[in-house]
Amino acid sequence: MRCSEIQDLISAYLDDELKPAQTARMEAHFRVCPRCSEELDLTRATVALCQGLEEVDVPSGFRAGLHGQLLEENRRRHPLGTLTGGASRFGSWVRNGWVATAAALVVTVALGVMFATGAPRKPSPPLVADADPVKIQSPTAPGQPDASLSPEPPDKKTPAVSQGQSGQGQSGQGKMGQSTLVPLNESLTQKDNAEVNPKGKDTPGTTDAVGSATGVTTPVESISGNVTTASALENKTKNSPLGAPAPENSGGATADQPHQAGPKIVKTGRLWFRVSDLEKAKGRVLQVVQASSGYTKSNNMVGSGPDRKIQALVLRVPAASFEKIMGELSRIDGFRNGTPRTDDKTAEYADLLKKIAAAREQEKVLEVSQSKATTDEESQKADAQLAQVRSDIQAMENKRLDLDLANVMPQITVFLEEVSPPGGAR
Amino acid sequence: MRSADDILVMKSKKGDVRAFEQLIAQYERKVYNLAFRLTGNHDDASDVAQEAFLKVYTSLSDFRGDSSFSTWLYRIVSNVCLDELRKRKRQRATSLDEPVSTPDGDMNRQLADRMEGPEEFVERLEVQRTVQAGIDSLDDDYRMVVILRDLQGYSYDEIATIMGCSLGTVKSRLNRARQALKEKFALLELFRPKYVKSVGGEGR
Repeated sequence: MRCSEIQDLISAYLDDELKPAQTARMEAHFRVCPRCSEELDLTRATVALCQGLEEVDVPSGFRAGLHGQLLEENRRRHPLGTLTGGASRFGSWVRNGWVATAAALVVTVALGVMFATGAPRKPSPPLVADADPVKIQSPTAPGQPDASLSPEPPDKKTPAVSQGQSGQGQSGQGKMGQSTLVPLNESLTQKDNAEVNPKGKDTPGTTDAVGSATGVTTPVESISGNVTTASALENKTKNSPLGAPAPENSGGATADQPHQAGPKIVKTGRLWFRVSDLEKAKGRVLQVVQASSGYTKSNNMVGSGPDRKIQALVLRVPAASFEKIMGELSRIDGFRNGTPRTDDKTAEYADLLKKIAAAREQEKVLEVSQSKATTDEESQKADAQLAQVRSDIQAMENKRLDLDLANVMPQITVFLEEVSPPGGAR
Repeated sequence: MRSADDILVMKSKKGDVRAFEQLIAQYERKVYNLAFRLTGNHDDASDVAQEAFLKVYTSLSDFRGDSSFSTWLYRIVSNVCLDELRKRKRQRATSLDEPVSTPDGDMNRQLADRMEGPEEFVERLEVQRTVQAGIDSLDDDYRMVVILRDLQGYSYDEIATIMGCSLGTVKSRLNRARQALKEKFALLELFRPKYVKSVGGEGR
């Protein structure tokens, strides 16, 4: 085979897409031809470099943006809306996007659980007058990037009510006469479709809810087929000691798994700045952190050239102030981008606890064997096993502490890149 | 095909936005990454990826269930991405300016995982940025095929279906794309041993 032919087939060769006979010929050629052999190596290296590109996270706000467009598309197609789950007799219901909520007001949970959860509140989006729950921030699913840096979240409850009422007005909800529904809208901002039943039980006959949205009369305790779950929910909202609910953490549309008490939510943040004065920027960052009772965990200069200085600050801040601090940091001059992220480590944590408990049990058992060992051999064996288990326990406990710490004092990494003004920052 | 997805497809066809979002959730990351690597920056990537999903949504009536949903979805996504790329003619030098994206997480843990110090960390980011710049320099079709193959791991057959071309075309495009990249990387001095991770050992 000639070198030019070989070169055309190098890619296919690397990807195993050649027939055995061709492959054999290629290999024979590589053995004798240093040039082609080198081409092969370089191509392999090229592929490796590409494969080294890491997957990026989907930015927060992406889902929300898409969501808005999807709703827009629906509105365009069906101005009066006969979507999701059958015809609704109330066009304006549909326009509000209540349709999905109303249609699905059949079954279990979500809301009941949401109230119960101790999950930290997520910042709510600037409340939109249009009752369509068009969100600016996407639901915080575990492992998904969190709500992006946004203005300080308003107190949920009060604005919800007032905004909601203007929303009501807009949509001409008059016939429903249920301004009390609106807080539900806000509280369900993340869910068009939440299958909501505030009692957390199946209620027969609520499928009628869409067509028969009646008054806000029924108290939570006795849901009838006629009442809209939304209104019942409103009652519950008022009665709930927790007040306005936190947005559901897991972002699923259907009944979500109940969170265990004390969920372990681990937030992390990363921010990138480009500044002309590194010290000044650093000072501002530290100011923000210290004002919040956070601290600097580490501070490294990671330069990659004489005119390219990057300072990496790793900070720890109180969990409750995380979003606020991310917001404040993002307002420092030179901010380029930032990604907060929330991971729900509750399951992992619970799992870890179980493993620790099991290991401790095993430790006890081994301690007994050790005390009963009669021969040297038995004794040594028991010692070795015990040491292993203890070391495992230690590692797991450290991991648990890490999770606890990350839960309580999440970490924010700030990269400050200094560029000299003449050539530099754009 | 999983029946759960079948139901979601059915609902989505009827305009159930929530069902659609559930349906596409599993593709979100990959599609976004495809868009990101094609465009080289997050702003465009967001726009393009959203356009792509929207197109999938509006095209649902065309989906008859005779092929796999994911292939059908990627077909649309790929077309939209290429269309959008053509629209955005302006050369984006931003991939060099853009702060390099890495998966979020504890920097220290990342450093520890890779056993590298802060300097190597940043150097690695630099390499990634340069690689992205190399990809940005490719023509659209070449870019697409390299991303589908070397970043997202699709087979030649799958790529042929996604891009709507023949297997032979995939082979030649990929070959030329990699050659072009190879030359670019050589120019950018990327072929230093420490930058190149081995592709699962020797041999192929």
